[in-house]
Amino acid sequence: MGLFQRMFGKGSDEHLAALRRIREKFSLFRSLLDHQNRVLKDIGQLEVRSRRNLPIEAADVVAVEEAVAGLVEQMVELGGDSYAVLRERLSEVRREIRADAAGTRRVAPDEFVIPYDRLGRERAPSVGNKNANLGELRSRLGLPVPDGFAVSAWGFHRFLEANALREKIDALLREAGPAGPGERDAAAGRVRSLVVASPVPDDLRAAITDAFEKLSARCRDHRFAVRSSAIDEDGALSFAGQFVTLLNVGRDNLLESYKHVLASTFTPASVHFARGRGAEQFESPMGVGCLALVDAAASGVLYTRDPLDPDAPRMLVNAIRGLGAYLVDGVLTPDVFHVSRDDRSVALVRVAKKTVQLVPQPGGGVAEAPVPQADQERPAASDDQLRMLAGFALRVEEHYGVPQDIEWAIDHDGRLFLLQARPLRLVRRRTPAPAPPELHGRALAGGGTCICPGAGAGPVFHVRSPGDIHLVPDGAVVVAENPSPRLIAIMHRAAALVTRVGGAASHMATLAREAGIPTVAGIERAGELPDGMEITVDATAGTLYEGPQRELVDARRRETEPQADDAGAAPSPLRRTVERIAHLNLISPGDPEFRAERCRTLHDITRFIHQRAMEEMFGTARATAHKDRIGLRLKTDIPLAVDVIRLDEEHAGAARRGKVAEAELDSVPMQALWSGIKEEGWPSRPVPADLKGFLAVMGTNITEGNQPQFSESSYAFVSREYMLFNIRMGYHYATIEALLTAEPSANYVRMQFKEGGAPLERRVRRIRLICDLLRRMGFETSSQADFMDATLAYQDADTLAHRLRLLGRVNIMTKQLDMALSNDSVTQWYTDDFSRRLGLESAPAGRTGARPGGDVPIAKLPPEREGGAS
Amino acid sequence: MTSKRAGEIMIPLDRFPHIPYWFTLRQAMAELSGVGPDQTLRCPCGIVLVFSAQNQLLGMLRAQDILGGLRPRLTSSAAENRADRAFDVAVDPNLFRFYEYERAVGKLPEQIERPVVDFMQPLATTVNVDDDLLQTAYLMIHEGLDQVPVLEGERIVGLVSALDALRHIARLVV
Repeated sequence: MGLFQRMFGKGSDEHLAALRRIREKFSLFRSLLDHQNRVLKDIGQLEVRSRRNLPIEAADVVAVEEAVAGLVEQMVELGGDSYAVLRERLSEVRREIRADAAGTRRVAPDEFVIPYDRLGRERAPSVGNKNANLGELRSRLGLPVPDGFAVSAWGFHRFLEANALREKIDALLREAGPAGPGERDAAAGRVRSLVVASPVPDDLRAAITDAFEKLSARCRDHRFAVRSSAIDEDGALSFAGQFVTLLNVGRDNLLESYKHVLASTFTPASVHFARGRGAEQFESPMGVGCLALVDAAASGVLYTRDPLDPDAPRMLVNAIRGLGAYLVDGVLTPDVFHVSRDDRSVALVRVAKKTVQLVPQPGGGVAEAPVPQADQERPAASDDQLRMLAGFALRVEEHYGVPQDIEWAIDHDGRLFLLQARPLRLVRRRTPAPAPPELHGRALAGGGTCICPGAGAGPVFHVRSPGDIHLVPDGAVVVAENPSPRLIAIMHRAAALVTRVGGAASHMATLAREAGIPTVAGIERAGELPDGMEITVDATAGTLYEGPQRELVDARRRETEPQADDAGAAPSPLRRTVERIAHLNLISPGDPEFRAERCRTLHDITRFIHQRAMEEMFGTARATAHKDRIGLRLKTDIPLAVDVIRLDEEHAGAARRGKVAEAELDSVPMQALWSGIKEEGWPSRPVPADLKGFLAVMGTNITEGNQPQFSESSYAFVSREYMLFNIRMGYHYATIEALLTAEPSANYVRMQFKEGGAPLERRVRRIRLICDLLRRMGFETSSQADFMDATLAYQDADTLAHRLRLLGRVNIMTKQLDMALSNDSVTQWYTDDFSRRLGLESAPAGRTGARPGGDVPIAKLPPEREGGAS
Repeated sequence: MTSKRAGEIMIPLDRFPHIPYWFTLRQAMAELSGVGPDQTLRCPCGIVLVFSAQNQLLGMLRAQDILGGLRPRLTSSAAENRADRAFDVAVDPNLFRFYEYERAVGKLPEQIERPVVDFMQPLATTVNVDDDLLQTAYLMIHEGLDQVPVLEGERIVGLVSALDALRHIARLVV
């Protein structure tokens, strides 16, 4: 503050306040952009999981929701209450996500308790998969499964109802109000305490204790395990952390243990998910199993297929000493065996040194104990035991018809038990095959980032401007400069999509994955491929090949098709949830539908905020008062009066007497742009003094007598990475905004160009010329009369710095050019001449001037309207 | 029969190509030669109008002015800058021997980037829109002009060409 006081002198509080305000806005703006970048990445990960049919954690959904909620609040802070409507949109989307999820969680009435001896897999919706499978193995296949019983989800329902727990939980969550992750954990802890403190209602208690007494009478060892058995719908949102097993439970702590298992369903994620919607919709219905504890001498896991090599004719077995929890939790390194599927011969792969084991304690609970020295390096299971286990496992596999993942244990009497059986998720073909070696010589370019895996072949078609999108022929390989969301229009027609820049996180990436079009980003050299050339895009490997490579395309198609074991899953509720998050409806900012009210997904809200945040920053900077007072005058030999307003709180090279030298402009984008202006040089040396000028009939500006304000200075808001430069150059003004950071997906350059001194039709020709040049630089442009708006985004900072330098030159070249553009031919001449001087490749032959709705000759435009279009 | 007024026979200003004074001879040539096939838009009278940074009309550039700008220079004299000086070759035909073809062509890329302000005809004489045709014609003869700017109030609104003046005077006598 002291520094500013010295700079501006006394009585400049107003100016200081203005400077502080704009700096605060800017800091908010930058933080918002960082934030939205992270949101995009998270959304991308959810999509990838959804495409691969992997389960999606409610916690991840909640995390994205919260991040978007944070974005909304930042947007309201940045842009004001007019963005408060986004809060409503967000609530609505959240409601819809919950409505989708709620539909999957209905509990049907059933008995409270079902013994394993009369339990089969068809009862999974009532008792959970774990219980139902154990019952199936015991009652139908006669396999050695510990005796036990299941408490159904209906019992859980009864427990909640009898204690009015849902109402209590709702009240508790309402009290807690909106919260961050820390408070959420605390709230979940309070909910769990509430559950554990509630009594089990008499009817349920009677059913459980009755079943327990009968079970206990059948068992010689009176120790039991109480396990959760979540009702797990395929394709529904999953709530992690609800798989709890309490070992060595006795009569005394049976009901307590039951409640502990029930309480485990209230994870921080599910509690948060429930907020505002009523707890009953989001509790994970919970079945519980109570079974005789196997006092295990050894335990482990068997896979009926080797997950690393599913086609090999062998099973894979892991084994440790003691109870199995140490294996499942990853505490111990197990012995590894292969057992042949054909003759059940055992091959020892590895014996691990097993120094400790988990054992039941006499008074209940479990504890770690040392393994006797002699047993430490002995295999945990004998070949005979393994062969027997393999025999059981193959029967289970045969019964269910798919490879199995089986937990097992052997007690101290050498008896073998199966403790859990579930389908094995194979990763077959998830690792993409390398391209065939004969293609090596035909690679055109590589190193791209896979956005959506697969391969496609077809003729190259370059999309250089939005107008080109409508010309893309079916089956083409589209090569675009940017990952522009507008490319959605070609995604169902094109064979593959290649962008020269960009990475995995962009709005377009979401769209491409949804459309399933093979897409690769960041292949710079793709821009050099001639239109019409037949190529093959191996998006999976990020490589382009010469010619159509049908075998590669087919091979990639087989890889990306859903797997047999995926096909059984019913993904619809989860897909809907992911769509509510990741689908993008707001494509083009120029579209009248690009409004807050039209945000229907979390991605829409993010996209909308991204766009509006840039516009707000832009507008706020331009509307800032006292620019000449809070700015430092740029010392330069270019005859432009530029006030530089620095947005960084701290900056090197302190200002002296309110001036700043060119070399002190510690702003990457500003330096780049200014270097272009300097390179081209100020065009007009002073007119010879003896020349007399006459007023002449020119554009509207002169005839109306409103001379432009030459005294109005140009100004630039700059930080190290940001610039907003409003440059008044004769009769036109250009506003160039740029953000150049290390993160390409946050970067952009935007230029607006407006007005001029010549008649409207000539100004329009100049706009068309500039649009043409900018498109050749990769910009997306749009124009209306003599106003142009052009954007280039998702590029690395070096590329954008180069473009900014060119923009600096273009601004000088086109100064008062409008007056010279009396016809279309001469306009074309200037376009070509400037392109050559700027080193821009020319537009592809045959397509210039043929864009629908694009280049209508000026001669056919309606006559100039009153007052132009300023 | 009444004589026409200058304002009635002038060619409106917007029919002529315009360029700012710092534009180059090359750019002026592109304007003058009616680049491309669009010959209907070719400028009348072979003239490009030259404007100031404040959009004021400073002068006119004719084909011969551009040629003058392209001519190789034998001296670096500042006097050479005015194209209305006698063409050196006309003064001394022997000088042409110095203009070796390759040397002359070799200099063109440099010459062609020179600004038009150095070669244009500054505006000196004007007529008023209400001035009589004959009065305008006499002025042009007296000043040796092919075109004369026409003022309406303080603004130039068009140019009268000698050819048009002649055409209308011919109608008076026929």
